[in-house]
Amino acid sequence: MFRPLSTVPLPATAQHCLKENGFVYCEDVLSHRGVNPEARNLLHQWNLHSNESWHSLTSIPTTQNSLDMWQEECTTPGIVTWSEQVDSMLGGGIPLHAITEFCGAPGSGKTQLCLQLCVDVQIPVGLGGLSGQAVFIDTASNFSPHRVREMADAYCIHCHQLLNSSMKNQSDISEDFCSDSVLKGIHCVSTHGITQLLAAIKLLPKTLEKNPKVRLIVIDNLAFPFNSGDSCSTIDRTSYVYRILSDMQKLALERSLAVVVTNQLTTRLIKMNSVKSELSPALGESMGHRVTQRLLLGRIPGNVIAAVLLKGNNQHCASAKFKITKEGIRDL
Amino acid sequence: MAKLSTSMCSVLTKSALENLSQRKIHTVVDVLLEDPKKLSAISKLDFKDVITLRQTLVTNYSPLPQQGLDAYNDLMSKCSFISSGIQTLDDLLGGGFLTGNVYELCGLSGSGKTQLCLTVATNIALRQQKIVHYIDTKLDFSGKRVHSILESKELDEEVIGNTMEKILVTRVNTFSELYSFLYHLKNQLVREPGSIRMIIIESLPAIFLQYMGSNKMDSLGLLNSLASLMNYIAHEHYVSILVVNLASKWVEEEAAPLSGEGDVSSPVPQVDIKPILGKYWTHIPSSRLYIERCEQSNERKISVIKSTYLALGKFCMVSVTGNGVT
Repeated sequence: MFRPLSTVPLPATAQHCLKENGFVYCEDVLSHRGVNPEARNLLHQWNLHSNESWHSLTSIPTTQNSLDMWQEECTTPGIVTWSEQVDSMLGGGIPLHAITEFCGAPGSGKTQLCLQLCVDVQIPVGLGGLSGQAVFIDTASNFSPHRVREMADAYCIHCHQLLNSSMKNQSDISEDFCSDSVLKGIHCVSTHGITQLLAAIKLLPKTLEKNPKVRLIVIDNLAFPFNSGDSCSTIDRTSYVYRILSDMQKLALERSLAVVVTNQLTTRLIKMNSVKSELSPALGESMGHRVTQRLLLGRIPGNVIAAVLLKGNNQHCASAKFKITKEGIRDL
Repeated sequence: MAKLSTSMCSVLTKSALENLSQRKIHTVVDVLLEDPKKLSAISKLDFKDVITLRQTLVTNYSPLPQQGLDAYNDLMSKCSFISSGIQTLDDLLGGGFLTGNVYELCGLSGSGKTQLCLTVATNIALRQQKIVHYIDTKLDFSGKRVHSILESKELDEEVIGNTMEKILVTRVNTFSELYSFLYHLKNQLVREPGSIRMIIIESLPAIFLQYMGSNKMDSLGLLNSLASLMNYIAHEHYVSILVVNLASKWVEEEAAPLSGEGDVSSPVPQVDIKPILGKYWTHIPSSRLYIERCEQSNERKISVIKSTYLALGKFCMVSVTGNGVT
């Protein structure tokens, strides 16, 4: 059995050119003696004629055993939400190397939670944090610098108190806490429409190269661009969402960061025995499949927000409650 | 290899090869389809040599027939059931996953597909002490989860460590990475037969839904290449492959009011639960299992909805707990 050339990620034109000249399998092009001289001539115009470029086209992804993965999972801290209940439900905050989805009705605190995470990712390593930065992709003009500042102020006061009360060696933590530096650590990309969102995602690797400290990417909100007038068919939408999340997943692994996306709720009519409607997360069933964790947020009486884990790997159907104050996300 | 080269047959000289390629005869298939007289005229080889060339190519490329009895004995001596470690599931499958087969597990999101896969991988690694390959396409593999499943069995730390070293996880992001990796496993199986008995791919839609939409035909072609590679690995090397697919609620597009702004008086669509990846894919797995949530939150029903050797409609109940699936 040989490897068909169509399974190699070649440009379509190169694919066609090779086929025209009788190359059908990967082994026709690349033998143990290297790239076939005839193929080498053909591939020159795509700059794919060297042995190295062929090896990289067909490179084998790395394999890790689960013991190493477990050790890695246990040693990397998550991003805390500042609500102990939510953190323990998620097994220690928002995990790195994973895609977490928040869904909920308008006003259920999705954006607030995201903004809080953008602040919390900056907690210095000395205090058990990541000393990271955040990229906030804002598709629905939700980013509120004013609100971040409020949260940042509260965060700085909290960190100062922590430093003063603990006996920690203060020289470890050289950063001075001020809300300006917190705001500097959040890179907001605001996009309008699907095209800009897709382009912004493609630009992310460069953004991250410039800002290597980024450990969190937020897309708030992923469903919004797909609601607008220039919307696409359901299958195109799914394909776009999957491509976006696949790009994010690649970054999450390469750069060891956490990905958070938010999603809206939509009404779905179902007919089982009688006609009824139910609220379900937007973007279809396939969206729930693609994310690692899914949290449903909802406001309940008493100005409290309830979070239910709809999908997750470690706990089952757990729930948590928190409130949103001027300082940000807090326990009840 | 498909492209003609001088090393394939002694009569095939360099000049003959050039003559042939000028007339767009590049591959073995081209030679076999062309009239020998014409070939002789084009390549300027003797007619006798052309016949020899055809004969050599046919004998080199054609598989030989095998008697049914031999095939049966072969199967009996080399096939085995790999126990999933979940009693009710093993009963449903008639003993476990039969090597040489591709199984599909489908279900709605959040129905417990990943949990089942993690448990099966852990149980196989623990009981058989064999390598289990886990291909993770959407960051779902959780080492913590595997560890807690093993911990709940009250095993030594050393046993846990040894078992966890046997679960090899590969994270892939694109189709070509997935193909490259499976192809690499195939080559490994050729070098060391029997070194791999179980491959879990979780999940295919995460890869293929990226390519759906505008270029749907391309994605079907890719799915086809992957399916034939999977079948090859499963059949030729007696490996069980478990593939995860997503089931999705399908609504008749025309009748459905647009989500959110629906006019309730319009006809209400019937909801149908179907595995995705399309009709073509339904031919590939030899057995398809459907997992669904039941009334009680941690109970799951697994039923056989397609199979070449199991009774359809049979089902079993499992429960998803903190200790894995039991």
